[in-house]
Amino acid sequence: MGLKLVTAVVRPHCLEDLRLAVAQMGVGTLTVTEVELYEDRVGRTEYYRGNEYRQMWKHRLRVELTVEEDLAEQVTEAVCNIARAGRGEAGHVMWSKIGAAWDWRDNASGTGQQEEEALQNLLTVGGDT
Amino acid sequence: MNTSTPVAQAVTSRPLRHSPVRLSSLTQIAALAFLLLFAAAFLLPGLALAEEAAAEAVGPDSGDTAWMLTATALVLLMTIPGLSLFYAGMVRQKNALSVLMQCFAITALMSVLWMVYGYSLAFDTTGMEAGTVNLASFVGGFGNAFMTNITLDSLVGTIPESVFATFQMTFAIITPALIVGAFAERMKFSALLLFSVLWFTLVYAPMTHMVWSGDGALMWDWGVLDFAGGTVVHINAGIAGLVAAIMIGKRKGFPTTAMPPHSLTLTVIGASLLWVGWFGFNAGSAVSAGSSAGMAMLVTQIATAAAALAWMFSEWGSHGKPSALGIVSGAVAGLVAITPASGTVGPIGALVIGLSAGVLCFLASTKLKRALGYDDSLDVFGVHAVGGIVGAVLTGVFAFPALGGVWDPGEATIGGQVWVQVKSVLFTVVFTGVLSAIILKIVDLTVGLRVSAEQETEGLDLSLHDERAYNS
Repeated sequence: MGLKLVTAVVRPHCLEDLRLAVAQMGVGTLTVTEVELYEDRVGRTEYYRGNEYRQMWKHRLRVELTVEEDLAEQVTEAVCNIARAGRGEAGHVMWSKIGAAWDWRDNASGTGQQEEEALQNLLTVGGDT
Repeated sequence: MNTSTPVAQAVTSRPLRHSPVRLSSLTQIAALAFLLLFAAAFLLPGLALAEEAAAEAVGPDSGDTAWMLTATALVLLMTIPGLSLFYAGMVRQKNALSVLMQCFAITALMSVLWMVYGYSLAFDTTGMEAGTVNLASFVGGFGNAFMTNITLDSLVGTIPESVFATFQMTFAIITPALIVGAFAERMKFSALLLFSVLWFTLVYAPMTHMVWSGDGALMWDWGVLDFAGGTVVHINAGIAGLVAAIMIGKRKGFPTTAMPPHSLTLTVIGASLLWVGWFGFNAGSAVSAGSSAGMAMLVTQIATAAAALAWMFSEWGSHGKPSALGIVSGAVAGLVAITPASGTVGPIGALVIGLSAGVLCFLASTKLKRALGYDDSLDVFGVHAVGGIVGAVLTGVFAFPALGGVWDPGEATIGGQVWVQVKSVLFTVVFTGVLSAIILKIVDLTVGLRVSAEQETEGLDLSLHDERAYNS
């Protein structure tokens, strides 16, 4: 069984709902990066003493979750529901297949057979040094 | 005491502000003496206490002096950190420190220059004669250079001359610091220092002399009403700022590149400190702690609040949303406008002056600036010159008791006084405009006004000071 990386670019206030939703599915680890999203359709206007600045870049969070393949669909659906929140605005969820991954907390790995072997070798090498 | 004595006379001869104040403080002293006598009768410690109280009456008034010491510190608070933070928040992050540095350096430089010759040029009254226009009507001499005539005994009105000279020093500090906003984000630090020295010497000190030094001074003799510095400080700095913004040129990228304020939090804090400090500026200009100072304080609060609301609602109406930068800019506009009026108008005049300044400064800083296309980075002209002019002219209207004023007009009429105010404004505009242009030209030809394009892009903090405002 393989792993999928689910990447979503969401509005910052969605993070807490998203975290709780995936936690219920047993996903306890996620990575968050602050990013600037360029959106050509809708910009914001900032206004300072008569000067209007068209702001095309929006502050967003990129949330990355690594999940088992069979969970990916369920997780993605939850992410979409939360991130969409009834407003038409740009944003997306992506899936990528993960070649190899391991968690050094408990040495658990979730990879295909071939990757499993390669990973074991890597870990062994890593352990020796 | 040869030159300080005329100064004392000149200042105490500002008739309408001081006579009621001094009467009331005499009454207070009399009341105090009475109480002391009353207590003495019961406690029987002898009459020595009463004798001491009587002896004190010939020296400085302790109440007036205590207030003026406080007011002086409050006016210093206006520049550092008030104005510095107000301005620093409005520039981009890469220039935040340069603005703080400029204001701080001006504070130090002007203090020293004021001691060396500024106080003398401004308040030396040698050769002045009421009704006569001569060189001494425009500028004082060097008779009190290095403040050699200030002693423990010299008085200005009811306060020690040392306190008066320090109080006026803080005005000499804030005026050049105000101009910093016009050429922020692009001027060389060395050019700023040279400009400030020349401008202080050739523009600020003579302006102070012409308006405040007493009988024989040009605008004093015209009868201009400028309680705390509408012409001397705000129109003066505002016009110099406009000339400087035009002569130094626009910032790279203006107006197409976005240049939003990097921290409106700092700007709101700075504006709030300015508001508090301004009580020292306006109520301190009574040079006493009495009814005149009290009324100045009241009208300052009213006009500032009215202008803050006026700007906020103007913006709300024209743009659709009220902004924090708008409301604090309005407050500063109101503070500027009430400055010349604060000793002579009453609460109703203050309300009208505040509302007018809020709307007109909003229009000047937003519409007028865009229409004319000059890059006055932080609206020194739009707020200080426009607000100062609104205040100076309306002072001539609302000083009259018929319109709620607290001034004794004597023979003066509203039309006549407004003309005196307008004439003084026009004189100030031409005087500071022409001299500022000449000074800027001199600075440009010697050290150069502007940093290089590369330094400007990098930001003045790193390119001129090798520092960042924020490390992290």
